[in-house]
Amino acid sequence: MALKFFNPIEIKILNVLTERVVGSDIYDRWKRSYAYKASTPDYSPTLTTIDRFVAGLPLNLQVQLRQGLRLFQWCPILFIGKLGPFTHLSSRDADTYIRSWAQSRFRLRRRLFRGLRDIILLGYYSQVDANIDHAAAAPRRKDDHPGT
Amino acid sequence: MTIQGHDVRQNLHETVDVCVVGTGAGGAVAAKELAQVGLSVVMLEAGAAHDPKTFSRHMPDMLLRLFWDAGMRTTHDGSVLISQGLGVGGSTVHNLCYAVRPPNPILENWGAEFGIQDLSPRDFSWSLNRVEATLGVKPIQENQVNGLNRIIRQGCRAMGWRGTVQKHNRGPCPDCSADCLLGCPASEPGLGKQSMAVTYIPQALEAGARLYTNCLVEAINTEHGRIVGATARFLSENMQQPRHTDTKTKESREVYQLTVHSKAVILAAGAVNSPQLWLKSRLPDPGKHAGRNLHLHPAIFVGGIFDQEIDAYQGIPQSFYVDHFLNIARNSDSGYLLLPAFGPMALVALNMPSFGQEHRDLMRCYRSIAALLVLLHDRSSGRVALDRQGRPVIRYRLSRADRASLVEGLIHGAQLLFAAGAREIILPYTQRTAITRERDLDVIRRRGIVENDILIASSHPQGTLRMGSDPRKTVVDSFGEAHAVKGLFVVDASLFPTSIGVPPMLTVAAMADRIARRLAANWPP
Ligand SMILES: Cc1cc2nc3c(=O)[nH]c(=O)nc-3n(C[C@H](O)[C@H](O)[C@H](O)COP(=O)(O)OP(=O)(O)OC[C@H]3O[C@@H](n4cnc5c(N)ncnc54)[C@H](O)[C@@H]3O)c2cc1C
Repeated sequence: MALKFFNPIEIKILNVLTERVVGSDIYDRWKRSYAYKASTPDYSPTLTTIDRFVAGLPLNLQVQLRQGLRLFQWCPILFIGKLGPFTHLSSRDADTYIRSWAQSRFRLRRRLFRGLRDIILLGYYSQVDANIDHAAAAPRRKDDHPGT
Repeated sequence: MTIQGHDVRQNLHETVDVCVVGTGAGGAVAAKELAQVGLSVVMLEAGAAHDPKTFSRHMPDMLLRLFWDAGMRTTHDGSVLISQGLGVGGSTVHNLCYAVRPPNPILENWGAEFGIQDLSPRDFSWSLNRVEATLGVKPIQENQVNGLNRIIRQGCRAMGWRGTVQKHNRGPCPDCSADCLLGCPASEPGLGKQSMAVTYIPQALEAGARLYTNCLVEAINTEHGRIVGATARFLSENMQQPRHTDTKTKESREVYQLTVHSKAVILAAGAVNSPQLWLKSRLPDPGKHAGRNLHLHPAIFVGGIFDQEIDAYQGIPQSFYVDHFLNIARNSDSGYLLLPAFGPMALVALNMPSFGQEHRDLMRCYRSIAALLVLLHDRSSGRVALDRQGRPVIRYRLSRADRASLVEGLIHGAQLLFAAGAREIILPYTQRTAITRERDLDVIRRRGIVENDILIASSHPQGTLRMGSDPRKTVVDSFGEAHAVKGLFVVDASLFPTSIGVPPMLTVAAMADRIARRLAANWPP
């Protein structure tokens, strides 16, 4: 299934960010799971969920998100003194970089971090598999999306 | 009769007595009351008419279907997340069914300070009784109080504070869970959530009202200071803005309009969209108060991790609440409630601090978390204005006193959770603040309430077209009619002259009942 909203660069940024935000070992385990394998080979279920969600947002929010991702990708040199884009950072540097946004003195940076983090968490934790992984007490309904 | 706006392929015209804009807690009640006295009524709703059986647990999908801006509506600086319902039934489709009457001192204060006539607790109880009967409001039974609410009650008692199990507008609902706030799949007349979509709206339709869904009102029309109707556009399915280009096919799509000619317009689009429409339509407002006086009941989550599993997800999400810190009789404009709060995993995840491993470890405790919301009866007031495209821009800044109240509320919430047996307190700061002993609670005072560092949410925007007798200080009169436009009535949460301090649905609905019956008795306006 093709994505409706994100372009290849944005997909890369979101994949790396998802791994860091959700926590990498959980993400790895989940990637080996049935629901993941049963889904589209090119994109993670989290990414497809986020894509579908963002495609339904009002235009002004879509524009803000797109600009935010671009800014996030190109600022490691400014905030942690590392050359190159966010997607080229080692896991350790990526975490330091993300933390620099989360704990920034500047409201705008905190806001952007929070927005990206929340969209990823929304995408990840609405997967039925994530619920199972966390042994949630949620009873399943017939119409649950099977690992979308 | 219901006309699905997304199927319409031509411009349409309607000539009726009354045009109701919005079908939530206020609009649905007004439409039913006016249709039942024989007036011709048309209801215009921007969102869809949902079949509750299609509601799923998939939060992103439900946000797209049931909330304005897919639940991502915020104040202009992103510091407060504002949830408002989209679709037939408005916010009552995903609200949590606390059915609380307005505190008497609030009504008395509105009467005394704003000169609102016939709004004594005794007068108003008429409308409250009628609304409660139609929504099937009843006390929540002891065996319906779930694990989360029992824990909060236990902590409340241990602290010696005041709190009570409330009433709700639900019929039998065996599978009730925290997903209630994504819409109730069991909802039908008499069963599950008794939202406006399964109570007042069907009754309005039965009485002959016509309902247009996916129909976004863009202007209220007047001539010589009198209402002549409204203009709306039909939207594509599940779309929140009219688009000239279909995003899937990239084909340009004609945008069709509905023009309504009516003797009265009832504005009930909620406390953000009603002032937006007012300002966009350049309606007269001598005191220049339209859009001002916005109160949000800002709320902050405080969670506790327990040794035992609580399974807060299961059962009716909110039944008990702590009103010990809301002393309206003594202090009518401050205080807060402590409300049990939980949600599906995705929602709880948003309220957890940090990211990566730390966040994940907290999420592993999902079954052992009990949480509450500090819900502020706010004195701070904000404003709804317009951007260049005519979209609402919401400005709101917490006053110093309100920040202090929120800090105090978070500390009280944490104390309650410790008293109930929590081993660690979780706060929705971006950085985790592990609080494992009561004496560490001072850290909340040190961190304070910093915008975009702590998640602040609002589900109760109100007050932006305030009601009162003085046109210099208020926008509509004692019976909801605009001071300067004959035939224009407001019946939603915009009416409240001050913050109401408690969950507002019942008051909104009863205000609409009171205003609609008065309009019917004095027809034409
Ligand atoms: C998550 C949540 C939980 C809540 N829980 C409770 C609770 O337990 N108890 C309680 O008392 N209250 C609760 N509330 C609040 C309560 O539901 C609202 O205060 C109440 O519904 C407000 O009524 P209203 O008529 O002002 O607006 P709404 O009920 O929001 O209705 C407004 C309607 O107008 C429509 N509309 C907006 N703009 C336009 C336009 N331009 N054209 C056409 N239609 C338009 C909207 O789509 C919507 O259907 C909760 C709210 C939320 C969000």
